[in-house]
Amino acid sequence: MECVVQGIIETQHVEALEILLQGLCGVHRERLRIHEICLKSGPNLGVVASEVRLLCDLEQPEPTWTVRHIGGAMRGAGAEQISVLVRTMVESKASKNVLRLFYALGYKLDHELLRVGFAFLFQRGAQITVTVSSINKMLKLHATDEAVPVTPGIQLVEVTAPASSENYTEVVAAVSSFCEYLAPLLHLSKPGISTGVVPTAAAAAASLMSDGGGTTL
Amino acid sequence: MDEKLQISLDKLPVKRLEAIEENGAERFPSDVEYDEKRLSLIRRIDFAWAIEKDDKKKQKKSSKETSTPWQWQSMVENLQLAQQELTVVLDLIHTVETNDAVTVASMTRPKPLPNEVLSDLAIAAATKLQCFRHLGKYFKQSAKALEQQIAREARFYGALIRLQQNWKVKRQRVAVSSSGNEGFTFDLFDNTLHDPASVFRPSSLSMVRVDHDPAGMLAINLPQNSCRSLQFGFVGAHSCDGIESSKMKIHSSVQHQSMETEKESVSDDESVRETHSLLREVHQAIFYDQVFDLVNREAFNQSLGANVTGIRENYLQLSIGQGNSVFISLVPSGQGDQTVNGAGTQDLENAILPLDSLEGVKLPEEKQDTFNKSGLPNRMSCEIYLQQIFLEHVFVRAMDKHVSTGTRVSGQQGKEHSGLLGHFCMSLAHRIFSNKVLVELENVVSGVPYLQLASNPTWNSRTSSWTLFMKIPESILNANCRTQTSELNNMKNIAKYLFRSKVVVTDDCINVEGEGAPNLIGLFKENTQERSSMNRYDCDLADLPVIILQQVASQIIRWLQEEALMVGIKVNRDFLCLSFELEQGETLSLLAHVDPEDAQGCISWWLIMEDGLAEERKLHMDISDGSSEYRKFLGHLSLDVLHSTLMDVNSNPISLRSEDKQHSQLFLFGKDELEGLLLIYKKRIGVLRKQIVRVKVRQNNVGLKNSKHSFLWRRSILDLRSEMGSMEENFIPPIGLAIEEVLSGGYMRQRHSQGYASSGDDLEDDACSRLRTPSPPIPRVWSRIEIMENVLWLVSAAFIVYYGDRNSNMIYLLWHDERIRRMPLYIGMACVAMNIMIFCYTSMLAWSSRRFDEKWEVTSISALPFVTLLGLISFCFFSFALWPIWSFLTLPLLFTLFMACMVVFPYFIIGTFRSQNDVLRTD
Repeated sequence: MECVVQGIIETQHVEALEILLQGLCGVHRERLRIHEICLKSGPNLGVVASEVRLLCDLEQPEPTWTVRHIGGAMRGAGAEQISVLVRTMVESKASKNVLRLFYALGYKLDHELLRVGFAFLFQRGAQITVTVSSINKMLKLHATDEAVPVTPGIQLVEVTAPASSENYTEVVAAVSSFCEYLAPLLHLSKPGISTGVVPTAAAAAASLMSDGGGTTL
Repeated sequence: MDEKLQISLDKLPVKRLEAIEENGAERFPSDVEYDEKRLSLIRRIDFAWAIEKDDKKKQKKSSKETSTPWQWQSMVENLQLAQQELTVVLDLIHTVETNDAVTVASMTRPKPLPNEVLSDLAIAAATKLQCFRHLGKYFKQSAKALEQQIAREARFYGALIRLQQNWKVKRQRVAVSSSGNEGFTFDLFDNTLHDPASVFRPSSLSMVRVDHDPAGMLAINLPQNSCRSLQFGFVGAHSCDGIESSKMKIHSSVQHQSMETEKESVSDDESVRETHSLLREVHQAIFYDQVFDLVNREAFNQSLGANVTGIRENYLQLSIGQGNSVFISLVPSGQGDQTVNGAGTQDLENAILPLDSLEGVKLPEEKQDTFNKSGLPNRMSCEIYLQQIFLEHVFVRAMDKHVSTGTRVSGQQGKEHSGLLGHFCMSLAHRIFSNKVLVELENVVSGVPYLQLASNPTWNSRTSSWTLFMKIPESILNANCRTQTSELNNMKNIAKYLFRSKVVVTDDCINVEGEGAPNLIGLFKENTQERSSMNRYDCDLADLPVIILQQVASQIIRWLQEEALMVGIKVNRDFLCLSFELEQGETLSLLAHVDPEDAQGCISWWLIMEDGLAEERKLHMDISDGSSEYRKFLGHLSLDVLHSTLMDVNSNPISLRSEDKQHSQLFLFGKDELEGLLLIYKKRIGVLRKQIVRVKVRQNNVGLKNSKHSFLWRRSILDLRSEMGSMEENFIPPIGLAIEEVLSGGYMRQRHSQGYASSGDDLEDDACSRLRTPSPPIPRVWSRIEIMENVLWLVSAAFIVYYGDRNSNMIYLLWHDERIRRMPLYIGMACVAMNIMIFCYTSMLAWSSRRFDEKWEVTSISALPFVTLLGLISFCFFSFALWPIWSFLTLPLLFTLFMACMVVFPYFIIGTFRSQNDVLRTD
């Protein structure tokens, strides 16, 4: 299982967000460049249609592959109350011929995208991962070098944390308390509920960047 | 209607309300004093009887006048009476007006006429109405005032209730001195978070008094300059403008607020919001105060990570190691400053400027630039991090504890978060340090093209980790593994050729962990087989690039060694050196030279040739005065060039095993460092050719390995050709082509002798049309063993010639002895002469065509069988002719003479041709 919240931020405020995240997390940022391939099961494969995502980490010298299946979100009154989406997620490292394997199994390519940005990974009640990335689409198949942004000027911020059925309440608390700190810059909500950009973002970004954002003090 | 109307005007002795103030306070008249009482008593004296007497007199008079009628008399009297009456009335009125000491106790009034009564009534009603109107007006006024007051109260309490949702409101029971203050305060010091005997001292700010402002709105009073904000920065890297701008914002907001309160038109919502934000600022300031307080405590409590280097009021300077200092200070954020902004900034200016004086150094602008580039993290993010740490570990945790267990011993808690400042400083130091490490690593990676850097997430603020990858290009591996058919094997190989070493920085310790890293044990063990040994050791920043490069170089060496072993060459690995054993105890070593400062590339390679006795000289190898040691700088080779160098060595085991060290040397250089080498090639092409022939002969004996070698050989030629293309045009290419031809010739011949069909098309490559540049002759170097050998041959030949058959010398015997069969001797001599002529002819032919190097090779190939045949024939005839004299000794004798010729011939110009022939013949 994983807990996830998402939000969007304008690209010009990403730098301020980075400063804020750097301060909040205290860790180095990691560069992010992930080629994500979404596969859907063919017509005669299994009882229910399934969707599998293959993630190829292009940042590594040797691209590493991960296969990820995202299941349904937790439902019910309890899930409604919390501000974080809890959903099942299965993930595994894979060898580089995983795409061929899934094609052979009968999966079809649904879409593919390229995430470029950075991530902060830190321990704070839970193992929280904050990724700030711009989503790019590829005009040609698998042409990651010629990707163009889907929404120019807006980047996706995603906060995820792995959880289990026993401890997800703590993880949810950790994630949502972390999200509060980002509040002036962006608002994070469950995936699927769009909240838009925060009107105070510009002011918050300006105050964060007030000392030049890394320029000489 | 003769009745008396009594009007009594004295006041009732009842205590009457004199006035009611707007706020409801009642005012009573003061008690009546004695004088006043007496005065009132006097007022009550009745004058009625005097007036009656007057009246009677008047009436008497008037009756008398009527008796003496004068027609105007009555009128005059009447007038007089009227005047008298009027004066009395005026008198009375006057008396009453001047001092009301006269009271009209009773007055008989003339019976009023009905209209008079009515008018009286009307007047009374009118005055009553007037009174009521006044009263009504008054009541209306007070009602309005009350209403207003209630509205104001409602506003105030409404605002208070709304703020109470977020803030803690206290009502003080103390009697209030002045009106309009209910004694409400906001308690911003949140007790629930802290222990009763907490480590925090309540700030002076923690109680904010609530006031009414004139508009009835809630207003809060803050002392001047009460709000202070925490400021963090690096000593020597701060600017005033940044702070100014950040503070300016608060300034403006404050002024905004003060203006708003003056304005009536502001809505409740807005003002509540303003107050709210103001309270938040105050709250924040309290938090800053507390954090600063904690920082101060910790700075003096513990010594881990941070040392206090400077302290002033609201200012703390800490040294966090590695020459970095940070300061934490509380600066007034200009709260409540109603003066112009200039005053506030002046204040800040004052707060900052002493820093410089404290430091004593003013960094120039460009220095600051570089300073910041050198990896200082963002000031803002550090500030956030500091606050974050304290918030999370002190406040939030304290709250949790409070919730869970209620009260606790405070000392324990104090202990718990005592390491926070240390943690902060160490993570800061770590961040700076790891930035430096990263810069170093990036330098190394940029200096070594086949190295890649990836960072690993560590989930920890005080640990950073990177991995350096070195991947052997697929092209080399594929070329190498073509013989291996199994894909599994191939996969394994690929896995094998991916080296990685991990750099972990914990706090300020660098830990390098990698496969096959050079270490002392490996140095002594000399065991080349342990390949998966992981070594980890610590180093410091200065050593890091060298260590990384050494690791990389040693991994390359190891890889080369394995490649060599796979092909079947015996190599020894030494620290950063791969050495090949040549014959006669000579070693050829490939040495990696590591220099992180080198701009062109961090790893360069040297080729070092040593003779057999150089073992002990290894220790001072870098002193290049060794006479028999030959060093050659190969430059910054890429991996595949390096690999093909090795493969060259592998593909020419013969050249390594040959007696002639120089040839092998030439060969290796020819492959690797073309520029210098090709000169040597050009001059020594004949020698090279001989070498190649030998190669062929030896390879015939090798057998199975031939195919592989020929393949590699061919590959190396191709490499050579491709490299040739990139060389300078006017100088290298003709030589390169010449080499190519030589090499391919050798190759072709090698195949030929194995019985393969030969097309020889390689020979037809256009080897013309380019000029050769002359090159200086290079002196030949003989090894001692070679010299010994040659001397031995010459001495034995001289011995044979001189002693002959013990009676006379050999020349004499050849001329005069009867035992010699003359005819075979002459035929043999003729054969030798013919051989010499053939050589002369072919070489002349080659010279005449001005393409000696090329044509010579071609013609000698075509003449070769003939020459060989003639040589064999002459040998047979000589043996037959001389048999009667020396019988069995003839054969060794002839061989000795031949060897002596071999030794001597190289000193003749054309001697090389013959010597090669002879080699072929003997073998």
